[in-house]
Amino acid sequence: MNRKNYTFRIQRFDPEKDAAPRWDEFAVALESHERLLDGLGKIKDFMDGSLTYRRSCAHGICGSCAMKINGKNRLACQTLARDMPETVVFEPLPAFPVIKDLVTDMDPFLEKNAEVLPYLMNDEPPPERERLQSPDDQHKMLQAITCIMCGCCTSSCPSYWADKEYLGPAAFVKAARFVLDTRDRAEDERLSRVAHGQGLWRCHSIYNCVEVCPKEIDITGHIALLKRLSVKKEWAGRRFRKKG
Amino acid sequence: MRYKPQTGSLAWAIHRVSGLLLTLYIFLHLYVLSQLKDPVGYASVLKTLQLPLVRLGEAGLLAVVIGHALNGFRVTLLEWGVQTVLQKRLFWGAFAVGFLLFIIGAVPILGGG
Repeated sequence: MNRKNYTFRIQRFDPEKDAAPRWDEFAVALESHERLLDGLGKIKDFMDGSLTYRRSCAHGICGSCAMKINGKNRLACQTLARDMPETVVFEPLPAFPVIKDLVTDMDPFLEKNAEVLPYLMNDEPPPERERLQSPDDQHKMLQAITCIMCGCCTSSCPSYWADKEYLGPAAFVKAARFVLDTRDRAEDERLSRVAHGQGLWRCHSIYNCVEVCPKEIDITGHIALLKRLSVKKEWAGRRFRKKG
Repeated sequence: MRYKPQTGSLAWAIHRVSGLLLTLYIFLHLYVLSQLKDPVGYASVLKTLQLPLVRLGEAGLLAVVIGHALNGFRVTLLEWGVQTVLQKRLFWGAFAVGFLLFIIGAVPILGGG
């Protein structure tokens, strides 16, 4: 066992008591195999029960414990104590409204997701059993389907910091997930919902999203794909209009 | 907003600042050109352009143009489909090439070589 002492410096904010965010420090001992989420649990259970943060699966699947840790968005459940320096600074996800301590309001983020119509659209008559997909076709969207919608990407994006109406990387990954789905038939409608001034063209390929994605999705690569498809669609439309 | 800088965000910041500087430079450039109305004005502008501070500014302009152009090329390649895993290497590659071009260009501007 390799036990080490850490100082957890946590940004606190209680809307009922605090006019502005404040900082609290806690001394936490963690084994090298423990995650930062374990440390937050020790604080909540034994030191300060008022500490507020989200957690659910604790295994990198639900995305609840996304927060800014030492200046970078990550999942607290996926960050090992042994990979961190002695002082660990916790802040809520940037650019999302803070509800309390490390809990942010995810509604604006989830609303962006709804804008890209995040469900299969196919008006062809359904087959007797299911709409089949080959392993190769499934492979095309393999990365995009692993998104857990934790919000790490969108809240790390400088374009989103500057414009809260910008759709953001997570919504683009969701759009790409269906555009790449060979069973879907709504590519044109989805592209028209993402290819606008507060959509794809506000992405400046900064790559912050790629750096923080806990599922290691090539987010900017998916955005670039949507950009290329949108340009192709627009040009094809122009040629069509000219001929007509 | 305090956020840990990464290679990609550094490239973006350089691109933004250099783009802004180049936009401002266009106005300065047009102003200088507007002074070339007669032989006296021409001689006066040429004399100003020989000042060490202006030469240093021209070397700085060269750095800004190279930085903006090469990073623009990098972003274009990446959006054309070059793999994202190469974005950092492309930045540092552009940095190395840009540094070399800057040295080649700055030596004659600053009066050496």
